[in-house]
Amino acid sequence: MVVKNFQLTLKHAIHGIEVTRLYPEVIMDLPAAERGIHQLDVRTCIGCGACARICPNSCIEQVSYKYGNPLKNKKMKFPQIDYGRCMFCGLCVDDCPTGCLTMTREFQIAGWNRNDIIFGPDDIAVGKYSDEEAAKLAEEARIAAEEKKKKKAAAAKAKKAKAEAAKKGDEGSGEKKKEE
Amino acid sequence: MVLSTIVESITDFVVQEPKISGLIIGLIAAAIIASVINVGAMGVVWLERKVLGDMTNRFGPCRVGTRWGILQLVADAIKLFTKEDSIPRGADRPIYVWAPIVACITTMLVAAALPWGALNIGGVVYPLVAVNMDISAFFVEAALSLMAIGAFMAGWASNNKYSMLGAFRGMARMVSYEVPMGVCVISVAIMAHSLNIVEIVEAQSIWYIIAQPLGFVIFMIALVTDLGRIPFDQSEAEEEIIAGYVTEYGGIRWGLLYFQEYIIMLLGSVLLVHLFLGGWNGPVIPVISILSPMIWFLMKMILVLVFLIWVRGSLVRFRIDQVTDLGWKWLLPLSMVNLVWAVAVGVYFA
Repeated sequence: MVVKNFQLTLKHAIHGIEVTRLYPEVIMDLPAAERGIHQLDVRTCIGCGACARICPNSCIEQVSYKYGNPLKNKKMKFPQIDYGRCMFCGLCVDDCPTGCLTMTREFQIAGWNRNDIIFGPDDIAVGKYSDEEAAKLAEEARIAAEEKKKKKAAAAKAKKAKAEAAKKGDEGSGEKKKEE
Repeated sequence: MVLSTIVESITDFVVQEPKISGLIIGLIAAAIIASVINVGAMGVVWLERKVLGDMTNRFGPCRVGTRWGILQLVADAIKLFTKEDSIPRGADRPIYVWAPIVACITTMLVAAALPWGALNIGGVVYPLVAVNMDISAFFVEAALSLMAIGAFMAGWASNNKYSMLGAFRGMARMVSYEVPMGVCVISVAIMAHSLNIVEIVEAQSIWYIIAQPLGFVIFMIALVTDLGRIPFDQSEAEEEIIAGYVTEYGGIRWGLLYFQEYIIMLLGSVLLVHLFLGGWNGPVIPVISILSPMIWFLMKMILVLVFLIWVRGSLVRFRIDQVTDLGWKWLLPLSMVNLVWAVAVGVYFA
């Protein structure tokens, strides 16, 4: 029995296979479905806030961010995630209607204080627009909004006119009714 | 010119004031011994962590100081020195404080009488020993058993039942194994016709591991027990009594007690090399003939150290009753047999 013990330790010492991983340099193989920190496609995010509503730990907050797509996300509100509270359940990803919020395999997010691990839209965004693009898009969005406003105004006007016409018609009919 | 005048004045001083010069030389020797055993023990700790890591499929220290982790122990020492120094409220203060110091003094006593290799100058081998006593083997054996006093002081002063249990176990172990160990030393001394370790080494034309293998095995087991290493670490059995006599210690006090174990391990392996493995004896290596005894000595010492680490990695802890059983019922009678053998062979060859 004693000899066997000695043989075993000698074998382990000689074959040189180490089971320890030297962590920062060598990271274990992560599964394909690893739920690490999020990734936000700011071009498709519509700022609906579904992620913030479904979050069981209420770690998601909708905050303003300027490099998104104003044509889709009119209020320009994007999710900011507090990883101090996040439990990586993935409900936000499941609930996202446009599929713009996904989870990556990155998990090293340690910080020196609590504010370090609150990740704003800028930290998790992909497909950010450049300043020019953002300005252009903002302009487009403004024009689109104005047009819409005009349309709306026109529609309102038309509606009003129609309503007035209808009122007149009504009055006419009323008279007719009275006459009868 | 200047050098010769300095040498002259020093010789004059030594002749005029033999007591003071003796004291100065003694202090210098003590400083050298202290640094040698401390640096050596640091090496032993590093070796243990590295080899044990290999045996358990780990890396061991590999970050501080190159990929071999050479400076890991320096980092550990800095950590221990800067830790808070706390003494338990119910502790027996003076004894608590003095226990690690007594333990370290013990190691110094042993180290002073042990030869630390030798130099071959012009065909004559000069042993490097601080105090070349006639009874150094006996002295070393006696001083090694003083180690139990430090451990017992620590266990007693801590005011903790686990510490106390550890100290009792250490004492019981020490008492039951010092006897066979002492008998083995006597057997060696009989064969070499001397109690002086230097003369014992010089007498080993045949290594005593071959002349008295039984004695070597007994001495080895008793030595591992003396060092308090697995499979004989009942005095600090982590799974049973937390950390035994060091339970209540922290910071550098704990560091000293821990480090003292490794110093003793180093000294024990040196003693084993001198008594049974022929010390610095070995064929003269041509080009570096001056260092050749030193190289042989260091090689043997490192082999013994690795073997001790191998034992630790391979075996499990005995129960305390098994330990005392083994000591009194097996090793003591066998060591007596070995003594008779040593006398017979010694007389036959003398």
